[in-house]
Amino acid sequence: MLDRITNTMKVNRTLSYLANNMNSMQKTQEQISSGKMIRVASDDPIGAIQSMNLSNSIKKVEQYSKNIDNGISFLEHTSSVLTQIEDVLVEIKTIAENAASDVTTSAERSAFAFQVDQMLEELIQAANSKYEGKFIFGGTETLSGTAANSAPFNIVMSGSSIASVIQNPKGIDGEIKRLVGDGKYVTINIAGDDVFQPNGEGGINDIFQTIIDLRENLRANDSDQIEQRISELDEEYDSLVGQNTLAGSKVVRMELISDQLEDLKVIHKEHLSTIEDTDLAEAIMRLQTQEVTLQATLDASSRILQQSLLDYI
Amino acid sequence: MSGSIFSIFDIGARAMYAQQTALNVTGQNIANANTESYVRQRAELREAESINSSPGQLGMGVKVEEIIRIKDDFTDYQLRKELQSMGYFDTKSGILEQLENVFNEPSDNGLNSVISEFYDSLEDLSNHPETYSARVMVKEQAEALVDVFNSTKNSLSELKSNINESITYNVSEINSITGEIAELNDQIVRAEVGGLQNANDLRNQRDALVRELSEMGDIYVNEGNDNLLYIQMGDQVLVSGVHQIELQTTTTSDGSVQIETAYGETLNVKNGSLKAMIEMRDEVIQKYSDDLDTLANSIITEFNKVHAGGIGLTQYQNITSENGAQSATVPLINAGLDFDVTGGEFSLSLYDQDGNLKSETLITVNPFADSLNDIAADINSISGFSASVTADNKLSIVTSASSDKFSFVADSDHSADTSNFLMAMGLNTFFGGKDATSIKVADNIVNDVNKIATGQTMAPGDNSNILQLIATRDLSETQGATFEDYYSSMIGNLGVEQQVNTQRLETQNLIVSTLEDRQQSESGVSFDDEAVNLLRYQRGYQAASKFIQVVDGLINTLIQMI
Repeated sequence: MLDRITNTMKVNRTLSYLANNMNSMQKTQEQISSGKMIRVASDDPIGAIQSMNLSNSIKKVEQYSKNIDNGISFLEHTSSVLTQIEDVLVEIKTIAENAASDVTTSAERSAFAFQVDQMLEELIQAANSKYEGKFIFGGTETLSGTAANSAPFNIVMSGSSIASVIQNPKGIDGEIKRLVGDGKYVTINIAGDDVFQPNGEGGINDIFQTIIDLRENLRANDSDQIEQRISELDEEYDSLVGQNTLAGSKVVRMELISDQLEDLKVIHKEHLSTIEDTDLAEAIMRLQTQEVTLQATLDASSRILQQSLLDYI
Repeated sequence: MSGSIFSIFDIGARAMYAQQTALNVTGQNIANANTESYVRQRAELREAESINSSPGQLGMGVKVEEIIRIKDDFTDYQLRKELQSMGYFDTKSGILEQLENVFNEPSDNGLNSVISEFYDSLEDLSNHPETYSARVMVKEQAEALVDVFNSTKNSLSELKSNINESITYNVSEINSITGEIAELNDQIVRAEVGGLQNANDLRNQRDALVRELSEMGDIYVNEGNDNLLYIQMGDQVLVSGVHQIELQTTTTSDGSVQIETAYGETLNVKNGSLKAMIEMRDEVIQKYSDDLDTLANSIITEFNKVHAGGIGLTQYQNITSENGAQSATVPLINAGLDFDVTGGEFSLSLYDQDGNLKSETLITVNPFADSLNDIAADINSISGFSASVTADNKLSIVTSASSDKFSFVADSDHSADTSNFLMAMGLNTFFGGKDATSIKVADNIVNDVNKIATGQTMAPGDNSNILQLIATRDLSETQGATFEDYYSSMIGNLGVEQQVNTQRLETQNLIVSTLEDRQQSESGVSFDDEAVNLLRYQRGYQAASKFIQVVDGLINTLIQMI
């Protein structure tokens, strides 16, 4: 308790009360107009750290979604090409079945052979098809280089017809992955050799070889062998459908992850918002209280400062 | 026998004079009510010495003994002490605020965002390793990251040099203040000689200067019996009576300003704004600067380790290492490289223009035996390669046939460098430099973004290495934290430091203002007081006049009788 209250004290105190009021109002105004509770880390150090981590997490999740979208469109394109190849196989099988019939003449069979040859070319074209300029079935060898046979599947001609189909000697089995979560990867490509030549060039279930053989059988008018080809085509068709299903299931898996990421993003954003965004209703209420306090301070000050004994003597 | 009737006149005259003097002092107080550092004064009225007479001593009225300043020395002492701490917290708070602005977090353009965006660009590249534009984006984002490191480090140095300037300015301010105090000491002693006069206004000036000084350092004030003020800062006497001892500043080799005594010893300031400046410069800013270097070094190390084990879209026809050794002839462990080389091996795979393998050679590195020259000789002996050490001790490798290309990855099993040699020398690395100042995007990448090592094989669609580069984001190699966690905890620390300091500053301000109130309560001018005094002395004066009038009447009566 102080004995004497001097004039300077009254003035100084009034000024410091006013400064305090103005300071807190200014802070509130800043929070309202910027919409953020945290301008510098010292406003709320823990909140600042969380806000930095959360904004990075949100960006991460958004990037993962981008990676997934990219992977999904690649896989969907792969799947549509595989479906197209399935259709070609079905057509070839129909031709083979017609040709296998006893009533088919050798002239008709050589006409069928011509048709099969056309379809083989279509098939090779499909096997070398690209998405965004990159081979789908080339593994990591996505671009054709300067070396010989640098497409995934390359034709070896014998005279005017295709004698065999050989793979890129640098390999077409490289895996391409997409980062879809923290340390979580999904392989997005279907290896070309798994689809077309699972046991190597000319091996069992080499689709190209089967079709080349079928063409030769047709030309040679050999109906027994044609029956053999039909059963090979059946197996190959089944394995093709299996690969297509695999592509589809990967799309489903990635869509599922994408949905989870979307949920995560919403959660992160809400969390971030509670940490750093100004609660406008609360802030405006606070501003009003501060306004009232300031008004009261001004009022009280003006009364106290005016009082002086000098007015009475 | 009582005094003569005329001597009673003197009582009245003295009384009028005393009341008049007291009124004068009241006027002085009112006039200076708003003068800063003014201390209210009071005329000390005493009974005048009485004279011996019969039947007893007779009073001789009143006299003004002295005009004193009304103040409490203990409050002054406490205030000086607390002002030192206030000066310390206040200055520290200002510098911490600037430090927070340098880091500019949380924001969309601080280091935190830039790191995040850099990794985003890497992920885009992992989706399109063949695409030129994705590679350019990675390079651009890396440049942005490097820029933020460089400019933040730069701002920290600027902050330090600003502090150095402030210290120099403050020291010259101290010297000018202590000079004035010594001068005032001299004037006060002269004015107060004989002990009859109080040099109140000079003392007020001197107190104001001492107060100013208090905020700057830990000063000790002692007023001797000779009315001289002795002032010490730390162990150094600044004012000894009428003599001033000036402080000096010197600049050390690293540019930081040190405060020295007249005898050339470093002055250890323990409080006040000077302590805050020295502490911030040498400890706090230094710490954040070191932390930033640690982070940059960690990013360079982890990123380059992975990058050196990858292959870009185009391979090298020639390469000169980013870093140079200090000596090419001593074993690598002593060669003055910024990063350690361990025992291990790396491969050189040579390809023709179509990317067909011509040779694959394993180079063994023993850092305790092999010098840079030895490694160059090893590479030189491989057919198709020629290697040399440049004048600045960098390793230069070139293929003999200009159409041949090479990579640092074994073609057979894609194994990468196990010796750290490539990373230490800066061969096939992504970043150059070693800390936040020197970090840069490696020249090889700047010149050809196709050298960004996306794969571990020669296949253009191989994104395995870029995925590993992205995985460095989750490594807890920076003092047990990931890059981002390490940085955000740095910012958190800074925030806490400022928050704690702000709280302490507020407390200190409260203490100081309480003491100032107490000082004001004791020494400040109150108009009400003075108004009362005005009346009191006015009445006193009036009564004394009346008294003289009455005595005059008595004398008149006496004269009439004659």
